[in-house]
Parts: sequence; C-alpha cells; structure tokens
Amino acid sequence: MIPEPHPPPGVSEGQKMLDRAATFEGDKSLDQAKVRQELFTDLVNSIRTELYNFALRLTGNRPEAEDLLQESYFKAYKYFHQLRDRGKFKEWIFQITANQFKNFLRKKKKENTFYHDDSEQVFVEKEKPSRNPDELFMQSDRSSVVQKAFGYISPKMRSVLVLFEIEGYSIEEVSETLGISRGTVKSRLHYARRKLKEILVSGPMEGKVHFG
Amino acid sequence: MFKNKKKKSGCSYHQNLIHKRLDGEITPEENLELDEHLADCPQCFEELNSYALMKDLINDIKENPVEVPAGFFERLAGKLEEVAPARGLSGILAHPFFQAHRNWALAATSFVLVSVLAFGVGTGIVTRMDGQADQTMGQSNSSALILINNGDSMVLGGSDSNPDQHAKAIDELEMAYREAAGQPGGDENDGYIHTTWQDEESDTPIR
Repeated sequence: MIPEPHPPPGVSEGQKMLDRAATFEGDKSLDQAKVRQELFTDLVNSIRTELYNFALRLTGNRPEAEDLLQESYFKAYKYFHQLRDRGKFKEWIFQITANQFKNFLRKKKKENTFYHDDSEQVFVEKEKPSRNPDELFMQSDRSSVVQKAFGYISPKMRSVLVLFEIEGYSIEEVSETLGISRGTVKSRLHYARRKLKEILVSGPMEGKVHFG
Repeated sequence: MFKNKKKKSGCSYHQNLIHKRLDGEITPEENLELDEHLADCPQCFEELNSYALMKDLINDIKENPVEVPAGFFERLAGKLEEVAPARGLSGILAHPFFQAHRNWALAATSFVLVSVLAFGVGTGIVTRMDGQADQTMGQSNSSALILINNGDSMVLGGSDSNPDQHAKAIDELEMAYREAAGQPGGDENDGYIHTTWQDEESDTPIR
C-alpha cells in the first residue's frame, strides 16, 4: 500500500493511528502481542493528561491517583483485546478507572468513620481532606484553589461532582458508572455543590477566590 | 413521606428548583416558576449566582489540567509484558460491562446455576457434587466438580481464569476419575475427585 503524502482532510490523528494499527493487526508476520501492546500505549498516550487528571480529580491527591491509575491501566490492558470499538477507548478506560475507584472507595470505607446525615438521606463520610490539599496541586491560578477545595469533599460526593460537572456525564451515566441510583446521584450532587460553596465562601478556602 | 407535601412557597422548595436547573432536569413550568421567584427573592438570586460562578471555577479546572509527572506512563508501559490478556471465564467476569452490572449479572448467573442444578437433581442426571476452596500463601485455588451419572463431569471454577489451565484441570479430573473408577471397590457412577488450579489473578505482579 502506497502511503498518502497528505492525509485526507477531516481525518484526526487518533483515527489515523487506529487505521494504521488495523493494518498491523491483520499482518500475521508481526508479533501480535507486541502490536497490541504498542497500540495500547499509543492510545493511552493520546489521552494521558485527561486520564491522569480524571484520576486526580476522583481521588483528590497524587499518590492515590497514581495507585488508581496503575490498577486501571493494567486492568484495561488485560481486557484490551475485548474492546471492539477502539474509537471509544477513552470512554472505556475512563469507565474502568471509575469502576476501580468504586473498589478504592470500598477499601477506604473500612478506614473511615461514618455518620448519618438526615438532611441528605445518605451515609456520608466525615468531611476531611484526603491528604493535605495545600500539597496536592502546584498551580497558582484560581483553578488550583478549586482543586484544593475539591480535596475537602469526601470521595463519594466528589466523584459525583467530578463526573457530572467536569467530565460532563449525565445523571443517568453517573448512576450507571458508580452503580448508584439516580436519586442518590442527585442527592450527592446537591450536597457536594453546597459543600464546595461552603468551603470556598466560609470554609478553609475562604477569600482565596472572589465569590459572589 | 412528607416530602411531596412540601409547600411551594418557602425558599427550600425554590432552592431545590435551583439544583434541578443545574442538573438540567427542570421542567419548563418549574423554570418559569423559579424565574418568578428569583425576581422577588434576592437570597435565592444570590444562591443561583454563586452556583453559576462555581460552575465557571469548575470549568477552569478542566481548562488548566495538572501536568503528568515525567515518566509516569512510561514506567507503567515498561511492565506491560508481565500482564497477560485475560481469557476464559475470568475474561467474562472481569469484563467492564460485567463489572458495571455485577450485581445483576451475579444474580442472573446464580439463578441459572441453581435452576440447572435443581433440574439435574430432579431428573437424576446429577448424582453427587462437591466444592472446595482454599487459600495458600496468598494464592487462591478453587474448583467444584459435579459428576453426572453417565460418567461426564462439569467443573464450576470460582476463580478460574486461564483457559489452558482450565483445560488442563479438566484433563486431570478426567484422568483421576478413570483411575478412581478402575480401583477395587470404585464405582464409576459414584464418588468425586477434586483438583485445584492456580488463579493467575493473585499471581500477576503489577507493581
């Protein structure tokens, strides 16, 4: 096959990578395990910043984000051959990361004290930063203030806020991803918004951003 | 139970409408109702404004991503050769779709298995069954063997994963079964043989 000197307009880099990979995957003379491995790492590299930030927002700190990513990365590779539509790689690996995060929450649940918040009708963890939020993010703009504020929200509440407000998932998608009911999603979302506002307006991050 | 009887006047009702608007789940009627209330209530108006500003701040996060530490993904990629693609039963059980609907899938699987066993026992096809699981030095081994009265066997592996190991385990079972059946006093339609195979999951170094 003669390579095209200029790709046709409208063909994205990602699509070109997938097309190229499809030709290698059909080539019996190549080591298919190696081909699969290279395609996987290329696909991860194409979304590395988004994926890293997704894990960071879910967990609220780098060490836990990197643990989470390590687990989801190897899990994704293990089942990569089952992914039929490679064009949906990003959604697929985000889903795996969110699933792994559920396991992470289950482990964390054992370590935390819980109380019942009547107003929310859900069990919520005592609010405390996952680690020291001041050490978590090294940015200097106002987004770093909000990132730090996220660190003060419990992981359960934060995960709903991250998926809905930052990743743009619908209520239905958040419900499916985290395996909780639509009602619980909404309840946690309302609670997390109020909590974030409280942290920014009168809590630990008071006065760090101009608010209202 | 009193939730639905909440009065429509009062700010808590309208604050719920504010959240419904933020969720994108507000109806046109409720939207109109909220706008009318906001015109008369500076407190709720301010509340909505602060959430709108918060949404802007949250959008900032997305536009200013944190940098990935140098070499992070490269280090992970360097260990990929140690990870074998999942096949067989564990491939199905750990598939993202199965994981996402795990409770339903487990309930359905249990129902099917119980139905099959109940049918087998009821019709005399299944004559004896046994299961065993053990944990040794962090490696999990498990299997369950069902003997069927025509001499065939069915293996239900709790943590089966590698199809080659699975096939090997079945071969071992059959061989052991034949040996047992040939022993004095052995009845080819009686007794069970148990074997184990190693679960690759617990063995995969990922760090």
